[in-house]
Amino acid sequence: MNEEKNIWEQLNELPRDEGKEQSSWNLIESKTKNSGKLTWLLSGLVTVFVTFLIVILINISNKELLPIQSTEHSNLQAIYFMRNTSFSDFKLVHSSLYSNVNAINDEYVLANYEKYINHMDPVSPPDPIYSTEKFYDLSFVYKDGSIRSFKLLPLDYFYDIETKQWYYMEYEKIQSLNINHYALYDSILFKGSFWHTILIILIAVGLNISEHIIKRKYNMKKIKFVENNLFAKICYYCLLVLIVAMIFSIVYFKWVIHFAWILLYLITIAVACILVEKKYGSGKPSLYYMIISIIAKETVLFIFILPI
Amino acid sequence: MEELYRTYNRTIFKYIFYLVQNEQLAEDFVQETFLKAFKNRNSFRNESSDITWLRKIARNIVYDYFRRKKLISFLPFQTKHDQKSPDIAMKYILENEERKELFYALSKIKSAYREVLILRKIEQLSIEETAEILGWKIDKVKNTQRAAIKSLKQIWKGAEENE
Repeated sequence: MNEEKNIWEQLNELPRDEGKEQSSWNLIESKTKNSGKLTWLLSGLVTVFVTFLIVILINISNKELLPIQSTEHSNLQAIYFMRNTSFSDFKLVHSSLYSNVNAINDEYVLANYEKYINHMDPVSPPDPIYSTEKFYDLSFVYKDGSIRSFKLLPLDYFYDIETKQWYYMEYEKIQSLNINHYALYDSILFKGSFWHTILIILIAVGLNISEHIIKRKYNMKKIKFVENNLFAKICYYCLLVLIVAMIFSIVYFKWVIHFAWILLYLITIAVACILVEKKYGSGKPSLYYMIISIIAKETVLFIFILPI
Repeated sequence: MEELYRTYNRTIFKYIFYLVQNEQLAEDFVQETFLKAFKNRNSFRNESSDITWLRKIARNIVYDYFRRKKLISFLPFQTKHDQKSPDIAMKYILENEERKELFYALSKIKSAYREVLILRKIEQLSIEETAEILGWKIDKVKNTQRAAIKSLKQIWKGAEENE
């Protein structure tokens, strides 16, 4: 009986880690002071991200589905184009839900383009050797469903993909037909988007603020990801390399991939990063910051591959 | 607030640790217990002592966890709660064979039995205090304790020897 009492008493004398006792108190103290702030910040960022995606997808879908009202009339439904392609490849698809594919739906521009391609003159292949140049791929989709596809050598020579014929139009003829030459090329030139820039700045500021709040909340000097495990560190950096490699490949090699696949890829990598951090990371602060930063970084990368 | 934490955090940690048998989880639940306690401090009407009130909060948190765990037990992607290398409390249990055996035996019996033994045998609380924490009648505490010891004897041979 005495021995039994001893063993129960031994269990009653369970030691407590003083370091953890103190850090638990620090956490409780900071949570009672700033309760809710981090939750708001997290849900705010997620909301911004989801709203942004919804707006972008609705915007892209609407561009494809809704005809734009204008006084100009055209038989063209839309023009799809890609920048900086090579002469030998023609990967263009007829939807702007794909990476590197842009769409023109403006009736005025469409009407001008239609007039332009209807009056182009067949010419011999231009000089210098065109195969080394960078081209624009253009597809003219008509309302009756027919399609004409061209390679455009900046900024005047058109090459018909089907008939293998080069076309050109003299400046005087453009003038006489009253074609707005500037509007045509302006519609396909690369222009930085004001809203994309603002969004990227907002995300960067949000990320900095959230890091500051987490560090203050958990009394940390620096937030490190997967700091205690080399294998996890390697996994984490491999996953980051996978993201950068995909974005780089899409931009450099002109991959045409549906945005749903890109999103799925980014979400999978994000989940993998978060799981690695959850399993091998140093606790809640780094996990929270990992979730925030991975959402922010992937949003920025996604913005880069959106058609502008 | 800090005084309350300093006075009772070890008792609460011990209670939760023996209930969930996982040090990291116990640490998280201690934080949750005190956070809830501080949040609801105004609604505490001093009908019981501070430690009884804290134990009740801790018990609710642990049982919520058990319910959630049971609810999601069919999910294929569940991982066990992080239990890295044993920390101080677990080391203390593992360094003595008899403690280890009793600890594992406690994990094998029904949670109601385990709880009665934690309060009555480990923490040496009175039957009345135990009844108040568990919300049971005194007779139920007595009967459950008897059944708990009987059940423990079937698993842990030390119980027989120590009786």
